[in-house]
Parts: sequence; C-alpha cells; structure tokens
Amino acid sequence: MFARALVAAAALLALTAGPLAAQTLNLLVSAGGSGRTFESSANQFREQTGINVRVIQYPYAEVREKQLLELVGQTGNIDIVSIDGSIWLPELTPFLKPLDDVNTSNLIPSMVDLFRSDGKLLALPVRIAGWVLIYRKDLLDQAGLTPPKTWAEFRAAATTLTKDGVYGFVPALKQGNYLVVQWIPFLFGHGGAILTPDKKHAAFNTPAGLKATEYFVGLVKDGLVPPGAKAYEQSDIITAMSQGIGAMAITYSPYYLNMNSAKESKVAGKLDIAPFLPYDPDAGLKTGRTLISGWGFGVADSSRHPDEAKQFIQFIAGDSEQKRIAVDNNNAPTSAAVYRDPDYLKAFPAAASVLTALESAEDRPLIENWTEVEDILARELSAAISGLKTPQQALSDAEKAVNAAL
Amino acid sequence: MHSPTTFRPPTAAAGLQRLIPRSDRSLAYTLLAPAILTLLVILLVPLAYNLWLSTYQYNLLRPRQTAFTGLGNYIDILTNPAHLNALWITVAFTAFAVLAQTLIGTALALLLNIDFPGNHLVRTLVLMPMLISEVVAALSWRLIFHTEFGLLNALLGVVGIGPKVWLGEDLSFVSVLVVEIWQHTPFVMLIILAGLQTIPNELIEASRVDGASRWQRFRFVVLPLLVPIILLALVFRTMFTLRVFTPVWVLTSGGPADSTLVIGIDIYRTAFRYYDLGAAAALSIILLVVTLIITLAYMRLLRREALS
Repeated sequence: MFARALVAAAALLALTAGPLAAQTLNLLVSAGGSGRTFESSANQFREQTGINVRVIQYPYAEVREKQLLELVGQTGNIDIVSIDGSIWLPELTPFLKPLDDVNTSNLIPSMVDLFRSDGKLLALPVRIAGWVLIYRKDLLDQAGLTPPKTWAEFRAAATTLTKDGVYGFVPALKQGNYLVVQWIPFLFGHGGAILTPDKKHAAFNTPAGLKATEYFVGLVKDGLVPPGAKAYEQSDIITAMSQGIGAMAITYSPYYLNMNSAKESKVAGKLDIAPFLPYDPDAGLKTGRTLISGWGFGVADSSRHPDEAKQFIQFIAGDSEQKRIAVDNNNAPTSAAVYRDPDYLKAFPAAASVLTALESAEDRPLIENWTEVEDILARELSAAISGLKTPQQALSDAEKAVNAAL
Repeated sequence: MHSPTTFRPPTAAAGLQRLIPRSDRSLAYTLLAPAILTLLVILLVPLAYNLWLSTYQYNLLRPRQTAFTGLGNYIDILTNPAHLNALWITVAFTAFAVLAQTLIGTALALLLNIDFPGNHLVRTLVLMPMLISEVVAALSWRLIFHTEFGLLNALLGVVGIGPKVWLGEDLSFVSVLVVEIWQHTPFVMLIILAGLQTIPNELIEASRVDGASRWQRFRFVVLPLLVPIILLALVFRTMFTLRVFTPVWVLTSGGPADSTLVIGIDIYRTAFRYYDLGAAAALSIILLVVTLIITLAYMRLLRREALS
C-alpha cells in the first residue's frame, strides 16, 4: 500500500515538474575543449540569470547531423544553434533568426563577418582561432635560424631541423577535413584560391595552386615530416610537438597552449608563435594568409525562448565572459580587448602574434556543399601525398570532380 | 433458384464470436498478430520508405525541391566508379574478414572445447574483444598503430624491425582488417563452441573404438556435424561485416586516397555530409540486395546440408 502511494506521488511529481521547473535552453556542441568551455559559460550564466542552458555534447559530425535534423523538423528542441564558421553557416542560414540589432563593436570584425549571410548577421563569434606557425624557439636558436618568413625559408629550416629523431614539420595528413585545412594555408600563401569569386568553379588548378601542392607534397616525400603523419589528425600534431619530435607546425592557435603546458608537454616553455604564416614573394604577397575558423552561436528560428537564447549568446560574446573563458578554459577569444588583457597575456604570451596573424585571415568559401568539395580535395590530396597520383594529376582530377559537384 | 434469405444485422454476440478463435490455427494467428504488426511497423515501413526515397532526388537542405527520378539514383551509382569501388572494397573486406574469423574462431573453439585447468578463465578472456564498444576498441587500436608512439612499432623495434606506417597507403586495409577480425572472432568462436557441445559424445567414442585417428575424428565426425553451425556463423558475420563502419571511420575515415572506403562510409557521407538522402537510400538498397544474394546462397547451402 505504502509502495503504491509512493509510486503515485512520484508519478505526480514527475508530471508537474516539467512546467514548474525553470525554463531550459538547449544547445548542442562539439565535445571536448569547446564542450567544456561552453558548459562553464552555461554555469556562469545560470548563476547570474537563473536561466538554465543545457549543453549537450556530441562528437563534431553528430552535432552537425542531429542539430540540422531538429531544425529541419522545426521541433523547437534547439534554442541556441552552434555553427562552425563558414562550413555550417550556409546550411543553417534558413533556420536562424537575424541578430542585426546586436552591438558587435567589441568583437573582432573578421570574426563577426564569418557569420554574415546576404548582409544579415546570423550569429556571434564565441570561439574563433586561426592557423598559425608554432615553432620550437630553442631548436631554431641553436641552428642560428629566425622564424621563417617565406616558404623557401620554411623549407630550408625544416631541412636543417630534421635530425636526431626530430622532424622539421608536423602536419595532419589523414584523409578528411584535417588534410584539407592543412593544405589551405599553403595554397593561400602561394597566392592560390579554392574557388572562383562567383563560387561556381574550382580555382585551385592554377600555376599557383600547383606550386603550393607540389611544395606541400615535397615536404612529405623528402622526409621532412614524421612518416606516420599520413595518419595524423589535429590531436596528433599536439602529441608529436609535445613529445618533442617536431620543430614546426602550422595549426590552430589554441593548440599552442596544450603544447606549451608543463603538465602535458616535454617541451613546455620552448615554443613560440610566428606573427605571420610563410608566403611566396613571387606571388606578390607580403605576408602569408591564414585561415580562421571556429564557433559562433545563433538563435534558432523555431526556439520557444528566443529572447533568453539571445541573452545567452550576448553574454558569452561579451568582454568579461570572453576573458574568463580565455584564461580559465584556453578559449580562443573573439573580443579584441582580451588580446590586450594583461591576465590573458600572462597565460598566452604569444597572443599579440596571433592577433597580427588573424588580420590577414581568410576563410573557406561560403557554399552549401562545402563538405562535398572538402571530401573531393581530401581524397585527391591524399592520393598525391601517398604517391598514387602526381600533384598535377590530383589537382586536375579534383578540379573535374569539384566542378561537377558545383 | 436460390432460397430467399433474410438480412440479419450482425449482433454484438456475433461480432464477438468472430473475434474468438474457432480453431488452433486462428488462435496462433491471433497470438502472432502483435509481433507481425510490430515487425511491419519497425521493419517494413522504414524499408518501404527507403525504397520510395531511393527513387527521388531528395536533399535534406532543400526538402521542398524533391523530384521523382525513378531508377536515376541507381543508374548514377552503378555508373560511378567511386561507388563501385566502394562496393568492391566492401566485398573484399568482408571476404577476408569472415574467412579469417571463421578459421580462427573454429580453431579457438576446438581448443577451448578441451577440458584443461583455467579453461573458463581463458574463455572469458577470449570473449573480451566482443564486449568492448567498437569505438573504444578502434580508438585503442589507433594508439597501438601510431607510427611514432604506438605499441606495435615499439614491440617490433625490440626485435629489430623498423617502424611501419600502419595506417598509410600500403597497410591501412590490412590494419583495419586486423581490428575487425580481432573484435569479432570471439562471436564465431562462441557459436561454434556451443555447436561443439551439442555433438553427442557417443559418436566420438564410437569412432575412437573404430580406430579413427584424431584428424579422422575431426574430419569425418565433428566437422560434418559442425557445418550447419559454421554456416550460421558465416551468415551472421557476413551480414554484419558488409555494413562495417566504426573501425574504418575511426582508423582511416576511408583513406588514404579512398583505399578503405567501404560502402557503410559511402552511405554515411552521402546521407549526412552531403544530405543527399535519395542517393544514400539507393546505396543502402544496393547494399541490402548484395547482402540478400549472399545470404540466400548461404541458406541454400545450409538447406542442402540439412537434407544430406
């Protein structure tokens, strides 16, 4: 009898708990560093406003798929939409509320521009970084070298530094997104482009594109990278650099903090960041051109709590929360003030170099079927690196396939 | 001439009578109904929807711009060398994996069928790979295969063999195959071990009395009785391996240069990276047909075995 009463009471409680509980906003994010950072912001936000933000973490690919299915189905289950820069924005654009009335003057303009579509602002950048050249200062000093400014200097340094179990350059070359984003700074830095300005045709099969790809493949062929790099993802770059088998890496700037952390790395304190990526002077460039990418948050059109969702996004993109998560969670800040903040500079002395590198930033073309283009490039670049195709053949095949896909 | 009949409206009692089974057979149908209904809902409805989807051009991002293409998606796939290559890689991968799993699984089962001290402990240990989540297992193998910091190259280094790029263009297919075999051989072993225990001891005793050697006892007594069980294990493993996804996705993502691109990854990319649900549905129907053909061939063998 008592048990039955208890069950009935529990059932009643469960039924009434829904409407009585404080409103909860839902947000799907990529698990790992981003997930932990946004979780801590959600806790902070709840303390300040009493509004719950449920941060649901999934692997990157699943976030994209699950979030889109919810939005296409207009389920209202997602309030805050997480967007990976220009890669996800085109497909998510129809499901976002414009944020044009939001003041973005504290944010770095190139990062805000990542989330504009047809002149409308659809999200605020909350975690954005660029690809930078991270190098072992001690090894370069010993060899009497300065951080390479041009691709010729970069190759010369990689050749000199490849010895005694250390490789001059550590790239991520596993077929997939890793490989393509690794190649893009080489393409940009040789004056190449991915697509034509009208975004209707491939633009990488040009003399500049070929020069960049031959240079890129040459580093692998000539043994200046670890042999296992062909299977490396981004996380393997961190491992290789932290274990001291790499002299230089061109990778996402926040990884510097992992490589330089005394807890995780054998080479803590010996790393630095170059203010610019290398470039090809023959292409008429004065600096390298980096790639920026990262997360922005937008408000779902089908959200039942759009105002609260907007409030959360403005909170996390604000100067004070950007500073807090930059210092506490190694978040890559989107607020310009953080890059000049003494507390942040103490945690990340190379921040000034990152800011200059970001000024020359560019991003992948804003097209709906970018993933298809990326998969084609990944397959053909992987063939070139494996020696199954020449760089010329790979670029020609990729061009044909990309034009067909567009 | 027919006799005049008067129309009688069905009474409640008559309606009830119709519901109450009159023979054993109708009782059986009544009891089966919920199960059949469930099967219809969870099996046939999605299958029919998938079939319908495969005849449409349907992109998740443009759900309003669908167009009927008939067999268009199928023709596109069957004339596209990339998809055909994926199909071929899948069949080759399955053939190697299932063959190895069966051979090793049978050998292990025969070994563990012998009574020796610690047999139960060994059985439990051998089953371990099957109990580990596929993603976790594949991630662990990724660490083992790591060229610079992996366990495998470290062990090879001890015996003087230089490091190998296990997930590079030369070895990636074999490496993924090893993980698949490692993880699913215990399943084959378990089924065959169960089969071995059903073989009456009298038969083996009798053959021993008749002077059969150890090999003869296996070849002419045990193996013929095991064939149906082995075929059963083959059917299961073939069906599951044809749709392999996890180890390949974690270890190589289909690379290098699409050399490990199995159809499971092809379907995933088409559906959830390009959102081309029509083509993905067609690909999955093709996979289903391939699976059905192979399974039916096994079934025929199995029936012939049973008859003989």
